[in-house]
Amino acid sequence: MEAILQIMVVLLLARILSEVSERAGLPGITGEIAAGFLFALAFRPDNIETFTFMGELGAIFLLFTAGYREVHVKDLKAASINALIPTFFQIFFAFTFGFMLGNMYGFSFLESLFMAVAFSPTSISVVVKTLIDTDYLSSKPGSLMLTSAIFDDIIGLFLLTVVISVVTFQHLPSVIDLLRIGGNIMAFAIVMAIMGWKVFPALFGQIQKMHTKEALFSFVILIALFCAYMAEAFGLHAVIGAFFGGVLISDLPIAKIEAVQKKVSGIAYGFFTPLFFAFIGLSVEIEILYTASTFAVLVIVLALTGKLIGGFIGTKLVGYSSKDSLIFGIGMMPRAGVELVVIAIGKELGIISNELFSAIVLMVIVSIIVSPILLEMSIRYKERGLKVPEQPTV
Amino acid sequence: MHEAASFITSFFKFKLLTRMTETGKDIPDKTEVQEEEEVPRDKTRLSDICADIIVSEVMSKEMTMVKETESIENIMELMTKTPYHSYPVVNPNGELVGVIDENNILELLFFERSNRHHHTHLMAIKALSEEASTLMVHHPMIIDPDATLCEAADLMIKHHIDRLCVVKDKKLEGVVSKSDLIRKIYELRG
Repeated sequence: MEAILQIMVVLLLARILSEVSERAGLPGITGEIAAGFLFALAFRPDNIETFTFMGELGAIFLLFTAGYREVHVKDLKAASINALIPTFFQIFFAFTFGFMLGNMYGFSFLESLFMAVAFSPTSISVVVKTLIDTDYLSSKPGSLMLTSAIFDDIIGLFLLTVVISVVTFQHLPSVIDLLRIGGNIMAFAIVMAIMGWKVFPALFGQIQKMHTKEALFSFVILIALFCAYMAEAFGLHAVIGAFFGGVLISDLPIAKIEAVQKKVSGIAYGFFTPLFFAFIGLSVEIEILYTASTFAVLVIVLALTGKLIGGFIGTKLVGYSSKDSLIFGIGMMPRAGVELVVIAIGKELGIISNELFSAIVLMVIVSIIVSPILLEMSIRYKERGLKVPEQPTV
Repeated sequence: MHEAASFITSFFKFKLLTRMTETGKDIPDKTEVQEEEEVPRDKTRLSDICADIIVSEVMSKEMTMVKETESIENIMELMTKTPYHSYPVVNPNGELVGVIDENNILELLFFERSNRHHHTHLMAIKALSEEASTLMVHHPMIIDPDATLCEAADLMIKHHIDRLCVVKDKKLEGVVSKSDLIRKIYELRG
């Protein structure tokens, strides 16, 4: 009973606050995080087992739908070499900044590594609206952002995979350990490849003939859960499996028909992912932020500037003007989905302290609010320069 | 959908019963339209026939298709000139690579106006499309030319699909739509 009431209240709050933040021009996720946070403040629930479980499912569904609906294997192939250098730099700098900050504060190797991974991905959709409003979506830096972001989630998840595998050893892995980790990842990749290449297409060929109610939808969900489980069986994390499961069936016509996509999107965005983001909000402990305010500020500053500096240098190297490079760097700053999944896992595994967890959630929220504003400012700054005739853009 | 299916089966049973009680009056009188509606058509006959007809007999072979590299402008022009809602996209070898429909074009045109949650990464990439290959849906529903009309109808009814691309060895051979099926069945009824 308690659990039902909790889920109901949280979902309701998440919907209302998400609407509020949408109307204020922010992505709904800020409202959903706030919902969990307010729920924790107001009700101080002591038994959150069911809620936690729902949150975990939410993370699985979040990444599954990301793979299923948003990733395009063909886009990956098409993405130009040009985008690789800026992408490498922005991720490398963000990662390094995260790791260095961890070392500065004397975190363990693993905790620093987790922070570095949490710093790495970008959620480009946060700034798409700004790019549209300023008519910069099709500009050089705009399209570079989109291309670069294609790799972001995948690299982020890859890093997460490696880090989680390392975690199981509790010490700096030896060469043999590393080989075993590599072997596990390879084995998982091979199993998944066979599934996606032969098994799933044949399976869906049969499923489409089934008479049971909603058989197709059920099997899409089953694939998500199966791949999540397989990943765990290979010593990786469920969310990684869910993501690749989604990618594998994303090009199967029968698994992607409109009617099924709508149902998947409904159960994911209408139920599970709001609970995940609310769960993140609920796990934030504001008291800790007060005591560690310098640290929280450093997390925010380094996470954002890592992307900015890395993006700027990388884009300069491939011959963009300074202003375009600045725009690109700022466009890479927002964080939302995968980074929260990373820290949720870190907390679940007991590697990330509450202090770090709360600081990163705060960083995510700040980045969501600040990035669009900064992006618009940088674009205006460039436009102002352009109005002066013959102004060379260095 | 489920209700529809059970309705059809009960309808068929009814047909079967009436057929058995009636004396084999197989060819309905064309002039008695009213009566045809009241007395259901001979079921056994229709279901037999639908299993005998293969998709390649029903499909439209002269479909309007689009090249991978066709510009969005040209596709829009094509849409104003032809009555179709969706267009198969083929590569230079005549292999089906995707399908592009009115929804894709509308989403592109009104991308800026659409709700914030439509502003995803993938949609943004699509919004930058200049040619069919980036905007199209990469996973069209396909059917074998030797599949039966029954199978095509099952797919359409069960999964709310309006039209299927008929593909043999990756090559696009035609398109079969709901109206093609209805037309065929109507013809058979005489």
